[in-house]
Amino acid sequence: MSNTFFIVAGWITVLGGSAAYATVVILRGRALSLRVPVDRRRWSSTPQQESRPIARPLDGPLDGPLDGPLSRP
Amino acid sequence: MTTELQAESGPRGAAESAHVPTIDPGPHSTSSPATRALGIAVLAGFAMLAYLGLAGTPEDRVQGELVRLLYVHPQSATVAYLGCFLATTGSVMYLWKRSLWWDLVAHSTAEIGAVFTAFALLTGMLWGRPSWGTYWVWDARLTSTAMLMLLLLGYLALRKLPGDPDVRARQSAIVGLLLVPNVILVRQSVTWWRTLHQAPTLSLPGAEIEGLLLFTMMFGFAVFSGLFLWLTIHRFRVAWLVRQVDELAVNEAITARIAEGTSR
Repeated sequence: MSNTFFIVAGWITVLGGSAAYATVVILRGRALSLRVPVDRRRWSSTPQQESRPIARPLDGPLDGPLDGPLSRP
Repeated sequence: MTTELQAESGPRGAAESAHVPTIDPGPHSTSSPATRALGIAVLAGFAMLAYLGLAGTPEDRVQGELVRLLYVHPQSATVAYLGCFLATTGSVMYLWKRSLWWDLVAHSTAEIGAVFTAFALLTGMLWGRPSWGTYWVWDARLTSTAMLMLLLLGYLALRKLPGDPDVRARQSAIVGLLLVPNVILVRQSVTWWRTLHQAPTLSLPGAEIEGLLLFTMMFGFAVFSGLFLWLTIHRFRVAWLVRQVDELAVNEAITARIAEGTSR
């Protein structure tokens, strides 16, 4: 095999592998973002969104795992 | 406050309605304006690096065309070292502060470190075959890098074990402490022992890498560092989201349990 084969294979490994890994990370982030309210994703909130009330199934439980109904009298 | 869905479908509906955040209008990704700008800069950098590395630079006097692999191999190794350094830093800080933030930093950077250690091993093998006549030899540099890879895989396997997240984070942090000493071993192996692998090119006695070759190599380090930063931010956000989803699931279970109790 010529040197060109090894050079091209090396570059494809790094560039292709990096692109594939970045794609997996991005797609996983998109899928997870759908399940998390915007106030828990500070990087994606804008001042306009922060001022908007977010629809919640119950008032409280999204504040933390043990906050909300359990802490109420 | 009771939602319409909960009122309509009872306790079970209350649990299911915990997924209501899917109607959240915010953008659904781990991107932000800053990471988008960084991503574009990294892509442009890689295009430039590919041009310089594959076509724009001359052959090396000694290595010939194979020098073109040195524009991605040491850079991959450097990103792996950076990942390990941050993973150990995150582990130390977690054990000290017990902060979720540092735990997620350690997890995210260890994964990136594992990916780039694999790249470094593979490109090294592809360079070794035409240069040394073999893909692999058990010399100190290659063996210590393989050990680093195994350690990173062990760390990531530990993170996948079920159980209490705090216990898992503490156990992972203890393993994470071993990463930097292993990186030092990898880095110094070529000076502590006689190896087939050459000493670092830029500090090699008599090495004359200069001009466009030196620029391309240094430019590669800059581009790979940018990629590392971009990946770290996105991977950290993914780890953060995983943790949020877990917390929401706990909330959901508690809500369902309470609703079940009140309906009796």
